[in-house]
Amino acid sequence: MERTFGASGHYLGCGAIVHLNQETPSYHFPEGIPAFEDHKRFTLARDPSLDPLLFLRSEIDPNLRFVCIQVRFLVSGYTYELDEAGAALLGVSPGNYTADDENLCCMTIISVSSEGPSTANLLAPVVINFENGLGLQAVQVGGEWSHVHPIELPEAPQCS
Amino acid sequence: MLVIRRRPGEAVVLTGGIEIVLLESNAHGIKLGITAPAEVTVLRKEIHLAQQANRRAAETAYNGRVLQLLAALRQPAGEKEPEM
Repeated sequence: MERTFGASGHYLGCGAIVHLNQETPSYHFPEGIPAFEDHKRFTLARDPSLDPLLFLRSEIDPNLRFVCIQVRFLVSGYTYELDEAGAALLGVSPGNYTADDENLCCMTIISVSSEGPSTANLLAPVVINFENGLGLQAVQVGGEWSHVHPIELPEAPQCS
Repeated sequence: MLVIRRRPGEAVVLTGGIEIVLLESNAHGIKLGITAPAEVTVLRKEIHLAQQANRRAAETAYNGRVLQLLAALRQPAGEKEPEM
């Protein structure tokens, strides 16, 4: 079944964040994501007060969610490769893509740390093709980016 | 790290019934054959790291410290908090 994400649904169009005040329709991840292979459908949710963070939420278990950010808001010069299998899964051509690609939204999953810097998994970007609603966590082989890329934090404000 | 030199067709054996044989070696890389009991998980390392990162991310997705993370993300690049 083909889903259409027209102008009103092009929430995150890869050139700029387009406003989204509710959850998107679900995207199909045919292989799930590593360690959560049974979760095949995810929605993206945005809370304007938490921009530029996005929340990837499992449709079968709404308590399972991932804090994400579009990679281009985190680092510059990021590229990733889609091999034959990954590209076929997303319905695109194999090759190298940049995080600014117009057709594919490239996000990274963040681990929020209680101590030390939070980290982003740049080894395995989450890529969604808005044209067909298909998604994949594209684990890179021999990539230069870490699965625990530190996100620098300013000094913690004093809480009383 | 233990380093062992092997030629194609030669193997190493790990306790627990695990055998790793070097099948092929060429300019593009090497091909390994792994024999292990069904209960042993064999993963490419990058998949293993992605699993670990995803599990940790799922556990921490409701951590309130996300607000501090936001403060960092919203800080213009190159602009640091002045040192006191």
